Amino acid sequence: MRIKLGKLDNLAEMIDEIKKSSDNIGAIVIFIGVVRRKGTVLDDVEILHYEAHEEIAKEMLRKIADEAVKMFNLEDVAIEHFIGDAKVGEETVYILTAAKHRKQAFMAAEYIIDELKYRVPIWKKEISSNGLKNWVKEGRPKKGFLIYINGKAIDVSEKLKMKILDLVREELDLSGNEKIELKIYSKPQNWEEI
Amino acid sequence: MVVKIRFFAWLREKIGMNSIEMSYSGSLQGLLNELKRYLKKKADVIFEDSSLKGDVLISVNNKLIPIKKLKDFNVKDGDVIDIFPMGIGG
Repeated sequence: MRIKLGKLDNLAEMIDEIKKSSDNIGAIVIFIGVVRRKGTVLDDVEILHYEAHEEIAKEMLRKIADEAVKMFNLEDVAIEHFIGDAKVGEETVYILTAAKHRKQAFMAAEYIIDELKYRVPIWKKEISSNGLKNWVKEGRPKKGFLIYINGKAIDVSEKLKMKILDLVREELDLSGNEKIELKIYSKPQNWEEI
Repeated sequence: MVVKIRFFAWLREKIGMNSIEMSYSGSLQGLLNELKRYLKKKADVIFEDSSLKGDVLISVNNKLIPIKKLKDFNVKDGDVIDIFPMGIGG
C-alpha cells in the first residue's frame, strides 16, 4: 500500500509496483485528478494551490485505503495527492486500485476519491491569470445517507434511513443504543462471492 | 503552561496569522473561549456563537478531537492545537 502527499511519483512505475504486489490481480483502475481551466468560481484558472494538514491527511488516506481494501477485497491500493502549485493540465491525484475483478477496482476507486474529498484535510485555492484568488469550498460530496445502485448514488430520506437502521438492529439483535455506521453497495451480477 | 494554536487554509488568511501561543491551563473548550475573546471580530471566522462552526475541525498534537469532547479534554504544556476547515481536495 502506497500513500503519499507532495510531488507525484512516476505513474508507470506505480503501475509496475502495484502489479508486483500480488499475482491475483486481474484489474487495475487508475483515477487521475487534473487541474482544469474553469474552476468552481473562477473561469480562468491558471494555478491550483494545494495545502494540507499533512500528518492528519496521511493518516486519513491510510484509513480510507484500509477501508477500501476490506470493502472491495482489493489486492493492493496506492493513493498520491499533489501538494503545492499545479498548472492547468497537470496531474494532482493518483488513485490506483488493484483487484481480482474490474467491478471491485472501479467501485473502490470511486469510493476512495469521494471519501478523500470529504474526509481528508487537503485544501485548494484557484488562482487566475489576472491574479484573482478563490479557496474552493464547494464540490465536497454531500454528507448523508447514500445508497449506490449499479454505480449510481441515490440520496435516501431520513425516514427510509431509520427504517433500514431498524432492520439492521433487528437483524443483528441490537438494542438501539449502539452506534451504527452503515454503507450499502450494490453487488454486481458478475461480482463473484468474496 | 504555554500552548500553540495553528490555523490553516482560508482560516489562516482571514484571521491573518499562522499561529499564536497562549498561556493557559484547563480544558480545550476553555482555551477556545480564551481564543474567541482574543480574536475579537475575527472570531467569526471559526466560531458561531460560542461553538466552533460546523465545518471547522480541531486537533491536538495531530489527533482529531470530537466536538463533544472539548470540555473533557485538558490541554498540556507544549500542546499544538490545530484549527482547520473540512477538506476539499482532489
